[in-house]
Amino acid sequence: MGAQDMDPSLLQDFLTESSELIEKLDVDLVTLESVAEGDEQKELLNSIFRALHTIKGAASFLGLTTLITFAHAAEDALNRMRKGEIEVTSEVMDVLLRSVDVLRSMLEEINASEEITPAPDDLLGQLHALVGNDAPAKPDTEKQTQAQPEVKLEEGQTKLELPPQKVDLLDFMVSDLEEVVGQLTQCIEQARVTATRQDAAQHLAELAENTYKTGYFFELDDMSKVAKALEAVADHLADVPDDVLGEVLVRVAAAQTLIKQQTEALCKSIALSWPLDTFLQRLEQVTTGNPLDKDVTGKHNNDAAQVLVLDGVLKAPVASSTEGSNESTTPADQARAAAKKGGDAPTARGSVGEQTIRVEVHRLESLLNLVGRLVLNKNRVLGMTRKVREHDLPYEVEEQFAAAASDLDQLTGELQLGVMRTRMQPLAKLFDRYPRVIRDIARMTDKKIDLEIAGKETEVDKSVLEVLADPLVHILRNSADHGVETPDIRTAAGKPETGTIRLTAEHQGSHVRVEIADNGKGLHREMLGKKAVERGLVTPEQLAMLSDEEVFRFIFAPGFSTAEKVSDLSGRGVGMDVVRTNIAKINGAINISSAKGKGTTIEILIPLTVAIMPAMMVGVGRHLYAIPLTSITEIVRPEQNMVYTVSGQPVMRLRDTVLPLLNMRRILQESGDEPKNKFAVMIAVGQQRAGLVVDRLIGQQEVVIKPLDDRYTQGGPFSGATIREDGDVSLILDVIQLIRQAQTPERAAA
Amino acid sequence: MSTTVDQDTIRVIIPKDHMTAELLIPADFPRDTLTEQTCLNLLQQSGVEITEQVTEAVKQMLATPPETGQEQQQVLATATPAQHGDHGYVQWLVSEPDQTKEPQTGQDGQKEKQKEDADNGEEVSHYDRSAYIVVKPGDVVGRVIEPTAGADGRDVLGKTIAAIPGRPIFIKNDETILRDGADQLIAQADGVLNRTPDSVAVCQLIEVPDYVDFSTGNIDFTGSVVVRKGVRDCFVVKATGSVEVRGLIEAATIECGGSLTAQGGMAGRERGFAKVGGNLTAKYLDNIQAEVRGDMEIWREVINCDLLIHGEIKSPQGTVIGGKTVITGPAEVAALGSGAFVATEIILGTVPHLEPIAQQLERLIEQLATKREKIEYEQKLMGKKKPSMMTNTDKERQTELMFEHQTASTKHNEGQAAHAAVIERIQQLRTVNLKINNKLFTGVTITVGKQSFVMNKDLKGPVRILVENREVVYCRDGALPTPLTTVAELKAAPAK
Amino acid sequence: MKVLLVDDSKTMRNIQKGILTQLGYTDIEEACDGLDALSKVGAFQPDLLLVDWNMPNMDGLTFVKQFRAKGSKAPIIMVTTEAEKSRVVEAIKAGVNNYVVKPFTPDSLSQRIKETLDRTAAA
Repeated sequence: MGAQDMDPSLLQDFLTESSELIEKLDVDLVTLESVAEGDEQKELLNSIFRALHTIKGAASFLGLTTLITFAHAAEDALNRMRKGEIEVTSEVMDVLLRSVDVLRSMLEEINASEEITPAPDDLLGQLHALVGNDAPAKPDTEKQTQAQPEVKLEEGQTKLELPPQKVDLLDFMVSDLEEVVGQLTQCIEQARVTATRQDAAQHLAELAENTYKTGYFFELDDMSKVAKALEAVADHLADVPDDVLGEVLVRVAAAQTLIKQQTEALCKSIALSWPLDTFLQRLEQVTTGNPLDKDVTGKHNNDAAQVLVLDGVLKAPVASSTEGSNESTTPADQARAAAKKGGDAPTARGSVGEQTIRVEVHRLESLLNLVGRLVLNKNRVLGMTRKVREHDLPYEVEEQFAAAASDLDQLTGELQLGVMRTRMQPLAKLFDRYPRVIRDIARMTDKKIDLEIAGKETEVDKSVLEVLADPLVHILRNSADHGVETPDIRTAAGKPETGTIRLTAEHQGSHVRVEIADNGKGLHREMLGKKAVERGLVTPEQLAMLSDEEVFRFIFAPGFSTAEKVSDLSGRGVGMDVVRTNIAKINGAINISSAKGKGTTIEILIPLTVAIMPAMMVGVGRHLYAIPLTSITEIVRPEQNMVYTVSGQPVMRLRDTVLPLLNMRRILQESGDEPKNKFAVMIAVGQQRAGLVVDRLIGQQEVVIKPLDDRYTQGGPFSGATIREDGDVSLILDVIQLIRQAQTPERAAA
Repeated sequence: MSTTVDQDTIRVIIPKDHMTAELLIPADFPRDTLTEQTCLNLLQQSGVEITEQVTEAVKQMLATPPETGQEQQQVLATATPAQHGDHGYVQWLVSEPDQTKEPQTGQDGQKEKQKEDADNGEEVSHYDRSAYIVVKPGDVVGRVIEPTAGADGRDVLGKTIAAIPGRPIFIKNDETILRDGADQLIAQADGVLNRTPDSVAVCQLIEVPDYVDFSTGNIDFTGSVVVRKGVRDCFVVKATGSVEVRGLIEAATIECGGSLTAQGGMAGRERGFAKVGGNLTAKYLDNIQAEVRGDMEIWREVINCDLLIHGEIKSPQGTVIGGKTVITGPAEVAALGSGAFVATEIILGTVPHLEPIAQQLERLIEQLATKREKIEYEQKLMGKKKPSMMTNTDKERQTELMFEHQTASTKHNEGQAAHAAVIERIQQLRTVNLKINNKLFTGVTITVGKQSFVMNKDLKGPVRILVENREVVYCRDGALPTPLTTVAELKAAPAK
Repeated sequence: MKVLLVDDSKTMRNIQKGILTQLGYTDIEEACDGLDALSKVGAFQPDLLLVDWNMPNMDGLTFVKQFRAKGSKAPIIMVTTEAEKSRVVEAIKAGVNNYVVKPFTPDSLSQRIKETLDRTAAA
């Protein structure tokens, strides 16, 4: 994987973090030179090593091989320094500082999307020289944790096979057990004195219990047995007669020796087992106050080790310590190193790189939701200003209230815009998937198709993006599958062999316009018409009256497929139906134009956001409804002489055009007093226009759209619902559906 | 008047039926001489049974003398008439079928509301009325009410008036109706309730003596249906068993779990539908949309039909003209298409009931894969957080992601296994073997898999269309197979 | 095989439940903190406990101590985070049988459960 095909945000994070670390490396290295050998130096070396290691780790995650190789070499050198195998000299420091420089330039190359220049050979040579040629390249620390170091096992020793998560803890346990061993000594001393014997018993009980549980956890069964025995000792310690006390305590010391041995062995992941029977049996005997044979008691000279030999636990005098425990070869040590590594990540963030933060989507959603509710409340406040005016309040109060409300209005507007911007995402997220889709179809159908994409940087609301995903795929598939012809047909028609599909996006006012244009065979009016008649969507007479675009529009009708056979690629006509419903869901509009033999262009217009929109509130009968303001072209009062009927459909003449009128009372099944003077709200979606006859105009309002489940609207012309400023619910009229209703002769509604 | 003591004296009047006893005290009767006991004696002499009520009535009478100069006549005893017993009968607990042929509102729970005609959408559907009472096991259809013995009466003389007991009803029931201890009649089978004055049974066969029309209404029956004549336009016959129609089926809908026999053929005029669980046997099919789970046998022809046959077509004498026929198994027809080049499409070797499942599974697998990718992406994002920077919530989320990832993977693998099984089954079922006995006409489209062949020559039968070595061929008995492309144009792009 | 899940996060409990179900253990009781768990162990008598460290009201360690103080030997798997790892020693001394670090994979938890039960069965 090269730096180019990487997730840019991941890369950015990597660069930011690495740059910080490099800065720190620089400083640390310089400091290192000036400090004396000792703890501080060790600490610095550790810190440098970790920084380098972190960079290497992240680079390996991103697959930056060149960088890893180099970082690895530098890390090896540092590791030896850390262990004190290499002295800190200025020559060494030169090499290290130069390595940091090389690393920095590598990072810059990555940032500039350039190929990484491998580290100069001489530097690598120097680093290797530091490590020592004979020293094998050390594997990663992580790997070592799992690797089983070769340890020669002696009799009574077994390799401790623990799951890794338990191995991780060995380190902690060793130090804990060391402490137990120390405390046992103290305990024995206390027990010798009658006055503190009670305390010693209690102390011993605790220590024994802890050791028992530790032994159980680490599956050290024999140590657990010893600990259990000590628990028994603790129980009886206070009552032990003075004459056997010494005998008891020497055996406690013996137990302590065993625990100590096990503790040391634990460093090497070794479990010890001993023939404990005699020892335990004798221990129990003395503990319960029964003296042992003189034979036994006389021989050990109060030496714990001797007791163990006599009791057959240990064979010969024990070599007191298993020497030569190289710090870095025991798993416990590595675990220790690993544990330290976990806690030291740098926390400061520099100003390098892009100024972005990552926010979870749901936080944004909830923010938008809050803004939505704020808008509602703003609307209520604005509603109250109207009410305030109606009441006789002092002029100043009214003015102040109105001014505050207007400020609130403006601020809310800006806030809303700001929040919406955070939800905007480039269409590239969708568009980038399509070349693959087209390529696959072209391959399957043996066609040659070029997909040209323009305007993919256009940003739309996240929800729009989601809704748009499926329709675009369907349209593109359709274009590729049905639109673009096979190369031979194209050649025969005098067109270039390769078909082109152009996918364009751009902002147009408060809408985004997405256009899919192909230069294929175009739509066939007669064929579509015939099909529409067959499907009962239209009568032959009506068909004759329809414009080309209206006929083309049938391809969006449910179940309408012009494909003569069902194809794998573009289904049974369900696809285009999805297009229509999905676009309608977000108050979008679709226009089709097509020229036979030349191609088809499908234009999708979608509002920039779908969560909040300005709407005109109108009254019909007893209810208020919202009409999206973006669809309203004008509002008129139809005069009697402007309205007449054409083939049963009421129409209105407006200037030079004749527009169908929809009686909203009838469509919405509203009753109640009918006012004399009604309003006609002229709406337009794409090229199509219609007038909605409503009773009253209430005013403009920002509405927050709450989507409605289809079963609640019962197929009515609603695209959603909103909460009004007075807290009541209004339905939002689905302009697209209404326009369609106006275009098709009203059969069912009549 | 039976007993008269004297004209001027006090009298007891008892009618012949002994239902009352009256006492008449003449106007001039010296009332002061009249005692209660005298009256009672008098009544007793007349045979009247002296009861407390009688004594009381006498007291009452004497205590309320009429105005002077008036005679007093009063009923002092009444008989208790006999209560005759009721006859036994069956109390039917089912909704009675519509006998009056009046439109019936759709409230009847037993019948499906189905609006056949949009014109009277809000009104009652005449198609919905049913002449049959459909029952299912456990339905209590009625209760046998036992006769009552009645209660004897008692006349004023104290004699018993005998009551006449009711007659029991004798009703025969076979094993389809259980008469339980509480005399309830309980249906034991699915079917239609058959009642006569002295019998009741559940019949698993509806036999319509005439047409299925407004006299019967739509039929929705758990059992089999035999229609002696035909099925009229727009009616619906649904049966879990088989359906046999002796006459013509017009543009109706037939759905049956068993076989459908249409002896008179089906003429659908594009509104005829059939869904057949078993085999379909018909004289002819004209403009019918049908799905047949079993085999199809046509005696004459199939015209402009949209057919989905999951089994075989066994119509050595039948011709398929126009329309679209999708068939899973082998087929034998007399002719395919017509000399008039009618576009006839036949799709061989598809498995329509499994292919959508396979597709669905494919989608599911794809979805799961996407989900997995999404999870992996989020994991990747999380993965680059340093462990020390992770909050508890992050860790929880990460654990959750790992869990979801595993779950999705498991489901994904299961889905793939299921998909493989379905595909295997599809391969087992599909057969491409079309035998044409007489002629395969120009203009017929034969689709096999992704290849469509449009015949551009007539092909004389008997001939078979088969797939050999992955190539669609035709073959006459004893002859070598010839690629179908020699007589047909390969329309679709060749599949890979 | 009765398992008690002690975790204040419903999500975690659901995940654990899912994993246990996959392993074939369905007799599962849940508790949302140490106190809740203590009130349930008496009646439920779990054969295995998965205990989160960090919980309101009563943390996992305290719970383990009290649970063990009642003399119960049922194996306990502690669910910890990296930060608490250094304190696992305390948990071990309190009588925890195994532990798993968040975040964990379903496999690693399954592995821990098997491991722990095998060891308990062997002992």
